[in-house]
Amino acid sequence: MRIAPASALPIRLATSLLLLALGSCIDSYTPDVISAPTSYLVVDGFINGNGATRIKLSRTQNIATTAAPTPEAKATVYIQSAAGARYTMRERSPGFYQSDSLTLSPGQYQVRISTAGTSPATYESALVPLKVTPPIDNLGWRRTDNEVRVLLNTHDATQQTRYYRWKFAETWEFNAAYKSSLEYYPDIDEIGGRTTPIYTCWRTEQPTTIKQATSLQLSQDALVDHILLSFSDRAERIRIRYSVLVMQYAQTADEFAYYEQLRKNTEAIGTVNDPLPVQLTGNVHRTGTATTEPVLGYVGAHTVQQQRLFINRAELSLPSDWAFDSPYASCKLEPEVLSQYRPPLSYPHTFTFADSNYVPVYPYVNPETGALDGYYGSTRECADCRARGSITKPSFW
Amino acid sequence: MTRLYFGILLAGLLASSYPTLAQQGSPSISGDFRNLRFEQFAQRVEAQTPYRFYFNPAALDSVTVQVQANELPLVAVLRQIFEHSSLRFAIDEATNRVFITPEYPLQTRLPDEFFQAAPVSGSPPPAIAGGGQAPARTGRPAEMGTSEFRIYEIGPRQAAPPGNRATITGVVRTSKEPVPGVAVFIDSPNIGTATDKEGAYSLTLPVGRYNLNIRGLGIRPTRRQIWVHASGRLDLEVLSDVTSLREVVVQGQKEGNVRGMQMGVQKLDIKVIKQVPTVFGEADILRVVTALPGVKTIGEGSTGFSVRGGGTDQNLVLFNGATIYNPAHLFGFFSAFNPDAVQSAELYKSAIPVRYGGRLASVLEIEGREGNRKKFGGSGGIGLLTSRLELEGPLGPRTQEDAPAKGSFLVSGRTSYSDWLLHQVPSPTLKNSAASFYDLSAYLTYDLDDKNSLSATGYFSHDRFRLASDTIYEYRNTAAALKWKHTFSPQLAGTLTGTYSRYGFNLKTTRNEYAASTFDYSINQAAVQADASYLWHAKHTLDFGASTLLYNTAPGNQQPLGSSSLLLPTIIQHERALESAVYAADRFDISPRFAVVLGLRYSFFQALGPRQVRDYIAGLSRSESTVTGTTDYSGGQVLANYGGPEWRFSAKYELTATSSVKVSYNRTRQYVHQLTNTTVVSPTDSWKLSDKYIRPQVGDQVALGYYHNFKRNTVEFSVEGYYKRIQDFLDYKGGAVLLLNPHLETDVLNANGRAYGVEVLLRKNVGKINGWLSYTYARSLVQVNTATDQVNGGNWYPSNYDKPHDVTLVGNYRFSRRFNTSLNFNYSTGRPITLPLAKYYIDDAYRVYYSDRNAYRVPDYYRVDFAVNFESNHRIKKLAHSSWTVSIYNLTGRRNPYSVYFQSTGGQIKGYKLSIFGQPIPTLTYNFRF
Repeated sequence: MRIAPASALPIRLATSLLLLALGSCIDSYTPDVISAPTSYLVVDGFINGNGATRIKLSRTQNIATTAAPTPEAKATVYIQSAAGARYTMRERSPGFYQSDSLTLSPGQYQVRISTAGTSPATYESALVPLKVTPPIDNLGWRRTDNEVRVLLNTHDATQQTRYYRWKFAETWEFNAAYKSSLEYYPDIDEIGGRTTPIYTCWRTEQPTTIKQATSLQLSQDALVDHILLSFSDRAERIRIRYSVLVMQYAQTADEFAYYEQLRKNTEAIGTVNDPLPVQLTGNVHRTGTATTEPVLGYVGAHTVQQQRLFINRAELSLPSDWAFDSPYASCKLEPEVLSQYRPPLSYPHTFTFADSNYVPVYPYVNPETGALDGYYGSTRECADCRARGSITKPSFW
Repeated sequence: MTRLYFGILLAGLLASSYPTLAQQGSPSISGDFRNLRFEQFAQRVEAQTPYRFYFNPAALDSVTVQVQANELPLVAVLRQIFEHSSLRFAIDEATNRVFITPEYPLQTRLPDEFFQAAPVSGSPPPAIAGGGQAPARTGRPAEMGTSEFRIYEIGPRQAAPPGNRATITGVVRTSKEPVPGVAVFIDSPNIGTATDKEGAYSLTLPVGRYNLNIRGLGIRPTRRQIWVHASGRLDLEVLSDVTSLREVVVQGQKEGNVRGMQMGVQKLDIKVIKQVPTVFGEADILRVVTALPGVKTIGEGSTGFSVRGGGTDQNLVLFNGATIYNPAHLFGFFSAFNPDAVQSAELYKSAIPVRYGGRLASVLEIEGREGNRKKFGGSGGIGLLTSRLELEGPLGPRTQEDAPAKGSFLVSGRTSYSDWLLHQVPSPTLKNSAASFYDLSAYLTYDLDDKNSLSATGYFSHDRFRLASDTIYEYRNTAAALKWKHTFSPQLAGTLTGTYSRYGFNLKTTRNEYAASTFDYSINQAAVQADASYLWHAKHTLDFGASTLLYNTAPGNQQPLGSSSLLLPTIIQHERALESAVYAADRFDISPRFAVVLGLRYSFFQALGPRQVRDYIAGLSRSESTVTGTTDYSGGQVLANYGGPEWRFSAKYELTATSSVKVSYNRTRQYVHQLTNTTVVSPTDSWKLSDKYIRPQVGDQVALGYYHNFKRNTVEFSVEGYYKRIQDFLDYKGGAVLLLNPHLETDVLNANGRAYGVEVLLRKNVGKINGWLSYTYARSLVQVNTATDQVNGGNWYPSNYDKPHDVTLVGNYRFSRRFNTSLNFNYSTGRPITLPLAKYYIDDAYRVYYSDRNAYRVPDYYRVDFAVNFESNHRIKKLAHSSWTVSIYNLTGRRNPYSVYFQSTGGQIKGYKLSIFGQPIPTLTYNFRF
């Protein structure tokens, strides 16, 4: 059993803040010695005890590479139980393998992989017990200390779970800076009334941080008002409506330790008193030959519990003039006055808004002549919410 | 001050214008000396008697002797001769010298009554001839052993025939305090010694007359005329070097580098420490210690240091004999010692004296400064982040108004006000933060009589910070020491020391009321040590003693805070253990050039119950899954026993008067271990006692050195090479949990280390330019290769302190007595780090695959600091002496990487380097003394 001291992070954070105050500086740095000799197999996914299991196979990359990870295609992947049952997984897209929707019985499971290509090899993850995740009792929120905190309650009366990990998908509704009533139609090269709505969008984010907790130090296997997420109460995400889907996984102590180490290696470093990074691999290893070839990834086995939370603006009881953080601080509306062009155009055409980076918002009426003489418009980032989200309303909204 | 002494001498001469009768028993004169010129008379008397005449022939060529003598003393004869002339005579019976002078007789010595204290014990009043027994009339009484112009006789005259040897002992002191490290020596034969920490010296000489030279740090060079008849005591009061305000940095005996037995020792006087530029303008002992060859740190902002490849927990830091566990304030930006309360710091890197034990790599002994025994005074300083104040004065009765008191006190305190700095930062997190510290120390000394003296030290430091606004961290050092020094005989002196030390920290977390908690950790130790030094033979000095130390630790106590906290209280079992040692060392001077010290320290350690100890399957890596059961030990029951000899051997051979070769071998054992899995020392690092599974660390070191002094001992040069082996120090499994872990043995590994290197040092202690230049080549390697656990495949890998090349210059140039500048230069190889080799995508983000541990290095380190010190005028009479220090740390603004790290942000991996002081940092400090 290994648990990270809860106190370790704040002190590191604190030290780095202090250092900033004292004139320290952080520069970006890329040592030239880093060039990985070979690329190792990466196994990403878990055995889902109640649903389809999805495993992604890829290869490690050089640090400086900007390309997407190379998928490990055409491999044979299947789930194997300690009792001998085998569940095949099919490659849906290169490197992405999926099983049928399964309901696994309690027991121990592992994933076995045979890679194709010039140097085929076989790999397997360690046999792990299938953990049954207790349901989320309640997902709530509270506004304190200028923060909105998402709070979770869960418990396991059998005291079996103890180690929890969560993943989230946050979705919120937002508006563009300006509501455009005009639209440019490229096929006729004309501006007319808007038919495609671009004012209201929904944005979904999946935080990449590893969030986990243990109830081991508590008298019951229960987490009460555990803070899952927190963000400023001026965040744009609560301006209209906010939602978060929380997926809960029960883990073994070993898996918890792996993720804790993975978190330390990638997230909790960069301060004065960092722990030493660890050469972390996981629970997958190559079989057949006696080799030290590292394989990266931890394949756990658990069921999944999920719950969705909504926060409406009205529930927050914020004043109507509440100033939210806005990504539109630098946005401005500017007119394109067509009559200024020489020779004067007979037809109110457009130059600016033919460019897809600019969006017309409303007509410009010449104050002297009273004629439609051009358009007010702004950049796509300001007037088109699709720059940061999707206009498709999510099914759960 | 010199002028004052001339004044006394002149007054004495005036006061004694008439010669008096010589003492009975002196040679008498017979013969007819009529019609002789004085020169002829003198020749005839010199032929008859041991008397020798000194006069100016030109002044006496008009004198014709008209005397007949029959068994007359010389005094009577001379009185007849000069009865009607203006010439005067003086006879120094001690040396049988006769001086003839015009108008006034020469004073061969000052009369005894001239001084109020009899400095010489066990001797009759020495002879005074020629001069009158003039009473003291100058009004200013002088002190013991004060005068260069009189002869101090030791032992009853004619107590011993010529050729016998006698031992004189005493204390060298200024009006304020004893002076350690002062050379006391005679020229012919060349015999000398240096005073110890209490200022005591002991010198064995053939009986006879000598000029005793006294030279040392912060005192005016002087000499005393002594006439040794038998063993006795002579205390020497010397003048502190007022005019230079102790700026002359003389490191003990000038020849100590070559002639002393010590090797791998560096002594720093507070004056040196004070002139080195530091980041916040405050003199910092530990910062200067880390500029010495063989001492490495991870970087700025950490006072944890490694000596010759050892761990940060392998240094014994003593303040007046009491252990200080965490000698740092505010994440290591300040050392925990107030510079005003410190006299000196001494670092032993090899050839650790036998009286020290319990840590592998080094001993850093910090000596508190003794208070002024004559008058009340104080000093202080005001800086940007801290201020300090120190008060001192005499304690106890005095024999006379101006005489030094029997005791002294010195209290000092220091406090920070760093909060304002945090509040300047435009960050809400920092605005809600607080960081503060203070420390207090007191040092009392009292001489019961000339054979017994007592001293008491108290020390307390406290740090408190709340930076993430929900957790409050606090830590405290407490230390106390009581020392009784007793002189049994001139040959045998002993010290009995009792010490108590405690270190503790606690955390309070309140962010989530259901998980609010407090956490406490503490370690305390109580120790008694008896030391003795016995000069049992002219060629043998024996040091011996015994010590015992009781540890008590409370390794962790987590309690819920508030009624709604669901937290389960957790208390980790307390640990108790006894560490004891007996030791003896003999210094044997085989010949004047060749000396050896042979020492043995035998230490033993007993881990004591009550405790519950888990049992594990033998031969497997200890973990939760290999537990077989537990064993209960009752209170006082020994659950683990360790011990063994620690050899301490050193030898010195002087090649010439200015060069020598020394060699040493050392074994050390350490029974406490610091638990830290960060590269630097953090306040939550705790200490663990050896137990059934955690074995003591054992270190062996051999060292060989060559020492050479140039330019009349003002420039010291040394080359030292060493090889070191460390067994069983602690390393950690990946993701080890160090706090609140009831079974630490499952998370730690036994590592072995080896270190070797060469240190070259050129040091100049006096003159306008002083300081040192050093080059070090040092390697420090670690191996974890047990049957059950390996790191880096069981191969040797560089430790965190492996910085092979290091060049350090610490220099000071004095333009005038009031203005000097200091320059630091430091270059070293970058420290080892673990670098990412590849990236991979897992769990919706890029992750990093790291290299073997410490396989790469950060870029090289390079830094220059500069400081200017201004002193106000040097008039002795004024309210306060003050000085200003302007310093610039990291003058070139080089961004030395403190750490290099890779972070996954927004799905991308970026490399960063963190520089702690990435720009020049100017500071201004005002210091005062009254």
